[in-house]
Amino acid sequence: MTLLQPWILLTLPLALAPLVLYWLRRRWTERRTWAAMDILLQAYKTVEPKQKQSDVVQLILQTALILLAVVLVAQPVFYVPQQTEVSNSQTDAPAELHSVYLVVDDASTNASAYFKAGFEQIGKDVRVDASTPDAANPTSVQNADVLILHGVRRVPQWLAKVVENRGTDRRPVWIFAPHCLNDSSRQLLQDVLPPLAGEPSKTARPYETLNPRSLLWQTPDFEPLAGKPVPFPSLINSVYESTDDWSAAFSDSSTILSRNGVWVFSSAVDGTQSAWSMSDLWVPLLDRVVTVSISAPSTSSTIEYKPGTTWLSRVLAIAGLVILVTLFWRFGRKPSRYSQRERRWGWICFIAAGAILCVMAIQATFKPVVWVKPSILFLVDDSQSMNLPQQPGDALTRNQAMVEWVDKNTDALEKLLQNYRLFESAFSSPDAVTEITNATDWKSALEKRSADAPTSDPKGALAHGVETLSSQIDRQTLSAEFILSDGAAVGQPATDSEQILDNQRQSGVNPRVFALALGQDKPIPNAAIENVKLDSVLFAGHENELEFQLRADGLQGKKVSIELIQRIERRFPKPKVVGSMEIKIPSPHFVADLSFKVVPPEPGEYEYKLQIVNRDDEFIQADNAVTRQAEAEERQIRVLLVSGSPNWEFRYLRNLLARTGIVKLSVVLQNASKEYVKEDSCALESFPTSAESLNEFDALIFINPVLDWLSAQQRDALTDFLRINGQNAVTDSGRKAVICFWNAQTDFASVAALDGRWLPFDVSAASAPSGKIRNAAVITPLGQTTAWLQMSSKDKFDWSTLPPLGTVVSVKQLKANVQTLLTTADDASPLLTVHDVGNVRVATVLTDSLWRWRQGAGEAIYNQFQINLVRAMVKPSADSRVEKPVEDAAVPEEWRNTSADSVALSELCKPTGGFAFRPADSQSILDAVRPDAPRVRVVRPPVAIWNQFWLLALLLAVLLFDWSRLYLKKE
Amino acid sequence: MDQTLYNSTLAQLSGLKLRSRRVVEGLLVGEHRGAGQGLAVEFAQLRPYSPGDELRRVDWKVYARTDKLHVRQYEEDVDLCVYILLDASAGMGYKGSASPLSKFEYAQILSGVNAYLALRQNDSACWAASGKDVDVSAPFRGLNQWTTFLDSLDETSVTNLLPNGNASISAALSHVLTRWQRKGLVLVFSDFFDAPELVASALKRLRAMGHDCRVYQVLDRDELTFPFNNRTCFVDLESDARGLDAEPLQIKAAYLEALERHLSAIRSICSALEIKYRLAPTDVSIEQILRGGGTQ
Repeated sequence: MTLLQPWILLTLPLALAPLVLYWLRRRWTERRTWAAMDILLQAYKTVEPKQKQSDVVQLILQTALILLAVVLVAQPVFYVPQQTEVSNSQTDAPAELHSVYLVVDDASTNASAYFKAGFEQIGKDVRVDASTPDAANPTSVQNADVLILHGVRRVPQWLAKVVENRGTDRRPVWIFAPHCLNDSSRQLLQDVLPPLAGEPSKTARPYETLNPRSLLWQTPDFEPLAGKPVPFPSLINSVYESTDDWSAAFSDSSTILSRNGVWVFSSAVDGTQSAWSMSDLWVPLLDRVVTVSISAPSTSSTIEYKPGTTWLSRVLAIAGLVILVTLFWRFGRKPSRYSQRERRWGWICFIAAGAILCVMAIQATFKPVVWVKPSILFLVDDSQSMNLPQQPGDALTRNQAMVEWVDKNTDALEKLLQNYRLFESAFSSPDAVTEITNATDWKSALEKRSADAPTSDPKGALAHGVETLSSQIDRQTLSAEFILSDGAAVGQPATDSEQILDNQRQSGVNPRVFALALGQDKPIPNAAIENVKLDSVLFAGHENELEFQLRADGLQGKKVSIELIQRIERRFPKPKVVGSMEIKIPSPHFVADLSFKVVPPEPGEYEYKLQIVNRDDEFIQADNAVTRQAEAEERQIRVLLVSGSPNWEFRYLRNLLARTGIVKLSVVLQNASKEYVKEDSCALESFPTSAESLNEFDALIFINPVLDWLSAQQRDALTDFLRINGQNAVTDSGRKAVICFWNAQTDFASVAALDGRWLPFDVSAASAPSGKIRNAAVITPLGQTTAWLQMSSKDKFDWSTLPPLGTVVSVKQLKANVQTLLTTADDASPLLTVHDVGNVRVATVLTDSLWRWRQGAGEAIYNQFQINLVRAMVKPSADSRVEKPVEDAAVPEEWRNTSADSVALSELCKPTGGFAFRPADSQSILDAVRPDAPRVRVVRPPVAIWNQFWLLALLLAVLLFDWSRLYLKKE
Repeated sequence: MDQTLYNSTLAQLSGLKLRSRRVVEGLLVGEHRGAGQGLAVEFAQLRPYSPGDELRRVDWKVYARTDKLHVRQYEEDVDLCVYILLDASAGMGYKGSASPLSKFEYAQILSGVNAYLALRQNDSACWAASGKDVDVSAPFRGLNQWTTFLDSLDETSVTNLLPNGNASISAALSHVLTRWQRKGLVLVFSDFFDAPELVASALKRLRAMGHDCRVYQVLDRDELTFPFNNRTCFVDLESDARGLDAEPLQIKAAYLEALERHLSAIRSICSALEIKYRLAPTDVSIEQILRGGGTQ
């Protein structure tokens, strides 16, 4: 037996309290002169022997009482020599731990990792195999040194048989969190583990209830602080510090049952739980369990482990009671040290101490059983969606349907009330649980209740409601939960129902969950326009893109008409339908990205309203129209076209840009004669010599320029332009575009010397083309999703129909942030790339022979491509085109997903053995819950206090108060 | 002693007189029956005429009937001599927490009041105090000497009330009886924490000398009830060497029992010697004691 426990060592000095108090009493004697001394001495002679004897007996009893209480609560660990039959048979246990087979559910896959880590930390080289119950290998399960069932909910029969066999052979089986088993599996395990079922086996010894606290403290080398020996007071502090939740970890629920090698751990004693896994306690506990349950005969055959509630603790508790009764008896005798007035307080103290000791003794020795009514929790959805019709077109709302269902089941509820306690909690206030005492009253209350909670979450309500209820009643009594809801969970983060149920099981609650699935079973017919994107500044007289998303539910096979209404802000505005389309909805839940071309006829403030033509069968019409405002400017794209030579690309592009009205073109042709400058109205005399001048252009287009031709000032201007706009900081000049047409003769080194960032590749990665020079263009997947590359408004454009190009610069590898939109057909070398350098959007065309597309295919495609390219490059960034959500407050968030989610409710119920049903189903509440269910037998008292140290402190406080009052009182 | 204590008490004692139940010896004509025959109005007896008797005392009616000369004799009324013996041992200095006066102070007041009663009816009074020594005063006569009586009594409390292991009321009685030869009324004020047999012996001698005697056993309420709870070290007032460390509640019953035995013994002695006994707790008013309200 070892008494080396911190609590014992700390409380042992308390046993000296009566002696100290007695000594103080003797020291603090009051001095009084007296005349009748002869008479007093004569009287004293008659009582002196009795008084001395009484003092000694009283001190012994008081000290013994404290010692017994300390020992009873602290539960020392006792070793007795191995002499029993059971101990001898333990020599059959394997001497070493080599293999562990872990049976886990899918949800508990972390368990094997925790166990592996735990075995590693205790220095055991153990092979850990893990599988689900169905996939377990029977041979491995049979032969493993330790079989661990961790959190499994369903135990196959063959596995239960293995557990039984291993128990008979006294080979270790560890079962974690047995309360999470479903009913059939629990019954199966109870059949093979008779003492658990309350039927003491004739052959097997009953289960020992172990306390992990004792298990740890009797470990000689338990040193939580980095392997250094720790004095006991510090040990307590260190344990507190190293355990996140001491009370939860060492509460009475954290018990371990052990019998014949079968160890049943409650959920709290589980290294896979966060509190434990983060603490230092799990590993020593695992070590101790391994040592005790799998010890070799040479190391453990001489001892038997007998901690916790044993015959000795019962003897101690009863002895404590006997002592207290003796003290009572002595207290009641006369003459007493107490005056009549003091005896009243004395009785109070004695009765309090006696009650405490009685509770301790009863709980420790007799294991009282409490019979209570089981409880059922109804979780009532009171969100706004409950105001929707039960079915489309119904006058009956979901809330009314729920009341109607309650009304229909009033008799059943009254029957249930005879054997159950019924509780109700609303979704909007899951922290408040009220008891239902009368079914009719409850129905009336539901009728009066308004469903106005903005959001709802059945899973969240389930988690909160059960938690709240558990704080009011014993969690072991919760028999079933009913969710009365349409299942619509909007505005809440998705809650993992498995996690909720796991949390419930781990906290000792394992009820079946049933759901009354209210609401319609089909989606509500509704169409909505969402995610409207329109540039805030439009080009007057030119096409601008208005993109939006159409969402349609429950309208499959029907057509939805969408109109675009343009309204200019002027004195007499006249709305005008400028676009319309009709979409046939193919599926119940349809989402499509659509767009309109917007052409503001003149500069000014415009309002564009996208609206769905209202339908009679649509439920929510408030989300049918979205309005956006934009300003149209009569502004042209300022383009500087710089070309090294008057090649075909330059000529066609120059003419195209000069003709189109949206571009204000300036041209710099290197080595051009003065006559050309005079003749070409767009031509500049020279390349701008300052960055400010260059900043006046929205786009710079370079067609294979010879940079060496630029003067030093012009080069500096270009470098500054790239440097200033190449920063991510927003500049006054706004977004810029640089479009480069390179060919095989380009000196990329000189380009990189200006600023290497505007090349989409490293100079070394580019090389002159080899082999075939007639290249066809192929659009990349990214290019296919790019709007401005959609060359045909109807069908998918076939790029292979375009004439082949000339030479294309061969590039092996692009930089990381470069997007490739077009490639060559032969070697997939990039043809058109786009990347951002700060505020500059750089488009690189790795050929100067796009003009060849004009041959055969006509100029339409060429023109469209080049204009789109210029416009796309100068288009404001996506950041400036904020996709504003619909801000129409008339549509509550809850209503946007109004369909009843009975599937989610079913998934929530199914793992618990429950089911979801609809009001129209014939199933009543009595199909789910048996009305004649017996009362729940709460094995553990609701509050297990018999081994709590605060109880010991209270007992000692009461006794010491009384004794100190006796000894130290002063008149 | 504060005169106001006397004034308030004396105001309540108007009409109270001090009487001896026995024949006393007096020098002057007084209110008390003397041992001889005198000139009082109370007829005593007839005796045969002797030569020299005054002819006016001859009862002529008897002579007419018997033809013999007889002289009428009347009882003698003499003054009373009140002897006050005050126990001035250290034990009498005890004063309980609930009592306004110590036992000695209480006995002093009782003595003073009795002296007043005596002096007021023209009797003489003298006192003796037994403490370290036995002080005996000269007789006082006349109400105008009452203040002197009190002053002399006060002096002895200052000089005499000291711890003295030999102070015993029995010894003091024996001592003063050699001085108080003339029969009178002896008032003894003491706690009588002496051995009962010594007390009995002294009182017997007093009675044998023909004194009328009254015993006042003055005790504090604490001594009668022993109301202590705390562990206490009791130190003897008359001897520092004696003490007892004990739990009062544990010995209370035994103490009260022993005290009752002692009081019973004192009462029995007084009863046997036809001495008037009165228990005088210090928290009972003087008037109540004198009017017979104390325990007899």
